[in-house]
Amino acid sequence: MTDAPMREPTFLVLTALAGEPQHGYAVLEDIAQLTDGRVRLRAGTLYAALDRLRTEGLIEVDREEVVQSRLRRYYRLTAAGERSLAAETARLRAQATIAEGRLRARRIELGGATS
Amino acid sequence: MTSQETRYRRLLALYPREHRREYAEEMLAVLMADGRSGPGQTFDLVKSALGAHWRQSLIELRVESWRRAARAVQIFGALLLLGVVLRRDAMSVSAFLRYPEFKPFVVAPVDLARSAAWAVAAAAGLLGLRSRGVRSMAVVAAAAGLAAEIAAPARYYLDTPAQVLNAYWIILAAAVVLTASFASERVAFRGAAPRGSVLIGAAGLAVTASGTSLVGTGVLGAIGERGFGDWFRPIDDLSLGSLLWLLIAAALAVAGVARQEAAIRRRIVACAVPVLAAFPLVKVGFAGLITYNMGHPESTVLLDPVRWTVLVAVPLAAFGVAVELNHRLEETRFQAAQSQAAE
Repeated sequence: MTDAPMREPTFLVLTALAGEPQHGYAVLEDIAQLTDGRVRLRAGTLYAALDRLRTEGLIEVDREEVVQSRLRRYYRLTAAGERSLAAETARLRAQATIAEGRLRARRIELGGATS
Repeated sequence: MTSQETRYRRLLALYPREHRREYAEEMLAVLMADGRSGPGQTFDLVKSALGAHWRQSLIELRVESWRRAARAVQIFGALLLLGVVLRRDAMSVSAFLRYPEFKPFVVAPVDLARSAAWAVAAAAGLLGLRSRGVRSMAVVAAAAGLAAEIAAPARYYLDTPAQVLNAYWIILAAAVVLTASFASERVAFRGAAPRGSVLIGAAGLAVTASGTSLVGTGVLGAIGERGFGDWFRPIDDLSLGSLLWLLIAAALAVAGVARQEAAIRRRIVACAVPVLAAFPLVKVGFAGLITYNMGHPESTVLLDPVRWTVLVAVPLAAFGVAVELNHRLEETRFQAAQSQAAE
């Protein structure tokens, strides 16, 4: 039995936290940067993902602090989160390799230039 | 407090209380830091709040379903185990009536103990809807039942370890009933006994009747080619009459479980899986040991720690797999329903 593929926000949140523990807003900013602005998550979607990932044990709270009277909570990847992200990365890489191979073959068949 | 913050607080109020308690302040900080404040932000919060309610409902449904399933398992299991114990008594009575000179009627104290334990456990489970004391009595009775189910074959363990192996499914069933009794002990239930209780009670009676091999023999004997006497023999093995009663019992038990709601039914089946796993486990995993002991009564091989570990680990693993499969099924259905709602 295999796990279902991750949704993109989940994958991106885990990727953001793979670098270092981050708080919610930093995760949003990091994801925007990682995707060249293509994905700009909003607070509702982000916290739905964070809540689910915490429940599944893929992330956990690293520390909390209060900045300008507001709670700031840092999240970090757990060992299970790291394994899950590694598995999803391998899956995406395998699919990308297949797609790349087929595109290359198609270009050869069509007599186009190959890079 | 700015008007922006007030608006966000109103939107965050749409989330379930647990979610608000955990994340509301943090989300507010993120929302205030985020420059986007238009309808897209509102839509995202409303959509996520609905999603959080869905998830919360699923969690509550799961907890509630397990509680209700535990109660059904406690009552159904005790009724069926009572049927199994009484079946042995019925066999003894039946044998005594027909062959008094060969089979004196003796009921061992341990058999009396388990009959009483399962009768009390079933009655307390059925009656203990609101009374914590009665529910606690069900737990004590189930514990006594399990102890008696272990003690009964353990008497012969040193001479015939197969006795324990053959009774292992009953010991597992008793352990499941005890666990279910613990799980339902703290919770008061409203309403009547679980659906299907009458069918399960009838299944227990059919199991008991299978021990007599007497009932219904007139009709069955008339339509069959077997002689009348064939319906009674062999008294300690599975005669055809006995087999028919067991089939009736199985059909009634399946009908009783089928009457539950789907989520509860799946959990009851998950609880039955470790008991059902005991049959192939003993048949396949321990056939060699049983055969050897039958041929070598002078050097009986007992169960070593590895075999004991297998006996415990396999049913537990089977239960874990059943629970995980159910979890995945419900998660998939939940996500499908959520996607449909979002569309």
